[in-house]
Amino acid sequence: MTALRTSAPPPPPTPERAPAPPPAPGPAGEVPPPAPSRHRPRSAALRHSQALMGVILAVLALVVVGPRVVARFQPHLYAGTVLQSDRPAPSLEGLTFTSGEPVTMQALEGDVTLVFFGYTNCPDVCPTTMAALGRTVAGLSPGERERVRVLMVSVDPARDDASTLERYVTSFDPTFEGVRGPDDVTNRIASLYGVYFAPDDAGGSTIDHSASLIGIGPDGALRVVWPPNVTEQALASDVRALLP
Amino acid sequence: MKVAGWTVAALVLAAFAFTVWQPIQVLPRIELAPGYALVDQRGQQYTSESGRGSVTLYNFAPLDCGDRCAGTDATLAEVLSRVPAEVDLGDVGFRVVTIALDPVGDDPSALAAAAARSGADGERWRWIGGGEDRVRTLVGSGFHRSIGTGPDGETAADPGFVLVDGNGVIRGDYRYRTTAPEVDRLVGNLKVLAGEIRNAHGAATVAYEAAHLFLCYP
Repeated sequence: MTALRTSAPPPPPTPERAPAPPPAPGPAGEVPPPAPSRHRPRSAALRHSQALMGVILAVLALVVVGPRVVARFQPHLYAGTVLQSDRPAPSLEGLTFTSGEPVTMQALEGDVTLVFFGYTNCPDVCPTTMAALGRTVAGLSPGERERVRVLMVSVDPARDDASTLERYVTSFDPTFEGVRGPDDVTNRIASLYGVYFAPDDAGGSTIDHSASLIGIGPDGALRVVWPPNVTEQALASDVRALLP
Repeated sequence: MKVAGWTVAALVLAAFAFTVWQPIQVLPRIELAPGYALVDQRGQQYTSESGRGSVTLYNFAPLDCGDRCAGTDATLAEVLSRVPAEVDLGDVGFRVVTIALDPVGDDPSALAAAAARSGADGERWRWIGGGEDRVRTLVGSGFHRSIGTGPDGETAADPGFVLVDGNGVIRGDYRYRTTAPEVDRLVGNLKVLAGEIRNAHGAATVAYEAAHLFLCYP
């Protein structure tokens, strides 16, 4: 076959994009209709179906991937109040853990630290908040949980001795930590965290105190303040956003 | 790729335009206002939680301020008179709190006298005070104002005002006078804060957070 083809005379050269010659006029000078091409309708249909397929795929991709992309790049809207200063959180130095070890801000760096001021005889807001914190932390993944610390600063250090405080905070979650210190130190630190506490007006054994929850970022800056009624879902979402 | 490029360019341009034209202005969330429990001019306990939910303008003055505080007192009185008419805070209240720099202990009579002198009515404008250590810690460490003694032995502190929102966050710290009239500056900033309080709900929250992100501060 090869020998035959090479021995055949070469076809006349035709330019690839040369326009087709106009059809010869008929006997009455009419131009005959162009000869039907066997391939044109088929490739047009193919092109249409390919375009349709492309549109369907694009819509599918938009529907399936779009929300994920938006969720990935959407800035997190915190449920708490975000503070914009990079100023370090007020020092907790002067307070000690229930183990007797002093609290240092360096020890907290790298983790998200949630600080709550309360006391063990508190009848309402403290157990409610601590229980909510326990459920929030339990809902985090093990990896996230490792990087979250919860500190309860006692505003009643006279009655909250180290062992009482330890028992109280760990009853909500074994990783929770209690910290305490002398009255004047606790007063000063609480004030700097926007928290007040004072014996209740009735002269009873309860203590009025602010119930805000305060979040220190991994960089040691005070980042978010949550009101006492923040939901566990919102808190967990904010804590995840604070994690590095 | 072309579409992605145009999208990125549009986003960058939008961010640039937002930063330059600042279509939404906000006051910065500077830091937490300090917590405290003091007494007011009526002898009632007044705490940082008492003002929770309301916008509070703080200033600091000695009890026997006299003529030295006449200008500040006039400024506060004018702000109080202009706020209801010019600043729409919606349901959010507005109050002025003057922290007495001199120790008052539990006796409110000195506070009451100072309040009467300055024109504080005890409702929208209160004088509060407490023990020396507590006040010095609050004003010095909490509000970052130094307290000293003047040439005649009188108590003196840095002048100025601090604006705190209903969440207990400092939104304005006015330490120095500017060329703008002080009352206009305070009322102008209160209008900005009021706009955020009224409008930063639902989808608009994103725009206000963007304004905080792009530092659209007056």
